[in-house]
Amino acid sequence: MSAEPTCVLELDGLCKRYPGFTLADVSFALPRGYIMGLIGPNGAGKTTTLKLILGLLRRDGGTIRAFGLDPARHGAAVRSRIGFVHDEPHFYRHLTVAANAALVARFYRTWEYETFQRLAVAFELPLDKRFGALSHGNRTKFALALALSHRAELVVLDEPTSGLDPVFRRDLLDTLTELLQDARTSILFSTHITSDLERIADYITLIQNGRIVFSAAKDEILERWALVKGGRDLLARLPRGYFRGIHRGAHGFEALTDDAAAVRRELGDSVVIEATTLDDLVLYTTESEADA
Amino acid sequence: MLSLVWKDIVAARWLLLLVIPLGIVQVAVMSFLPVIYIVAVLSFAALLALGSIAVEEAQRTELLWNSLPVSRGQLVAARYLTALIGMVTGLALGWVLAQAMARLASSGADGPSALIGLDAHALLFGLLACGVAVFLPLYFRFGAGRALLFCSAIAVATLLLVSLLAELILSAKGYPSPISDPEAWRAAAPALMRRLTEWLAPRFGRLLALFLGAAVIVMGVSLLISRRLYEARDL
Repeated sequence: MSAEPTCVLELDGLCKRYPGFTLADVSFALPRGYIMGLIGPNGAGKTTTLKLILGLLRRDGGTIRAFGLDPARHGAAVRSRIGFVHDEPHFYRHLTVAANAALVARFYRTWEYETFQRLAVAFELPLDKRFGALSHGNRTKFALALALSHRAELVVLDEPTSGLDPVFRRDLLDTLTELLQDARTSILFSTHITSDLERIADYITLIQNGRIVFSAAKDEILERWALVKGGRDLLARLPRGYFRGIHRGAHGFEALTDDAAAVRRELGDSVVIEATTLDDLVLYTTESEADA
Repeated sequence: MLSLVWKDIVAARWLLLLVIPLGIVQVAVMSFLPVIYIVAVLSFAALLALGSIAVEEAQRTELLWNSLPVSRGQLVAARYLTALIGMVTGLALGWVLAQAMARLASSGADGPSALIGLDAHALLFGLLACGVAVFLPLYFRFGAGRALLFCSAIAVATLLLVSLLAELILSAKGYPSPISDPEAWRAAAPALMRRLTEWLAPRFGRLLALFLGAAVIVMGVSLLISRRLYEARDL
């Protein structure tokens, strides 16, 4: 019997072509027991990547290994170990929350009714209410409760916090952090609310125009990448492409670098180097693409 | 797979509430307008067979079921099984209601007794099965909306083709055309129907069995095609 792989998810050179959009050469790995944030602007390819992992799309190239299995060939086996929340959860609107849950529960051998009940209480879900009568926030909570009720080893969340109030977002992040206590569950979390990820993510993957900008440990990213501020005369002397994204102001510039140590060494006191946020990374790298 | 069939039944069970009262009304008037019974029972059976698809399309739950631990092949097979259950239920319900209404109205002998027999329902099952066998591959390839459009076009084209073919055969046999010479057609029609009935009556059972066998084969081929098409589809 083969040993369980240390990475629950490995993507290598993943490609998917659409007319007008190509997801190209997407590679990253998610170790067991960690949270990875998938960030990027709208239309960058986040949902396409997640759908490929779930086996909902056919890939045009590259490989995906989830728990050591290829979702294209072993879709059902892979999905039995994945809990998912789509960006717009759709269930039968004319059925109650409880009836919808009962329908979904039949598909999982590892379904834990007690866990679902506990989450339903924690999320204040009205089980006897029709799903169609729920608010967007409650619909997402319901989808999340289902995703977390069958001992999933990988939880795939596509923009789960959009449309949720800050209190629930905090509760959700706490729940996800709790999940990781067993060191068995991994989470792949796509979002544009990057502050959520700064709090809980171990790894960050930034995707832009269908290509990976970086995929690394969050601490490493926040250490390497930095915001650089300086005068416009300095910017004029630097070679094109020195920074990854530039904001030009009336008197100076703000730019993103992926090598803070090198900038500190080369430019010294002529610039101010500040810690960056994930929001800055998305913003500046998007503009960098536009500049290019 | 049975869980998939069950969720289709649960999702579309309210359709029964629509079907039963309408069915009673239709069957009640069938002794006057037998053709209504055929249209009604076919419609009800089709509604029960494919109603869950309409519910799923309207509520956009396809992505949900495809995200669960089931294969595309299972989803396709379950859809065919649900359609089969819906067709049989619809026709059986129609047959039971027709029997009951015929007895209650004591009009079985005067009314369309031939239409409420099991043979007639088996024939309707075959026709429905062929319709479903055409619709489902289109559904699995294009989704319900476009499949309905294509299926309607195919149905109209088939009707036109069959009527054209029938007219050509009649013309070749020397019968007058119902369009260019309606008077002569009205005079010749009873004799034609009599001949047709005489030819069909002794062969009906065998022809029906052949037709049902063909319908089952068509359903099987349709299932295989649907599976290939759905496995190749991006969601």
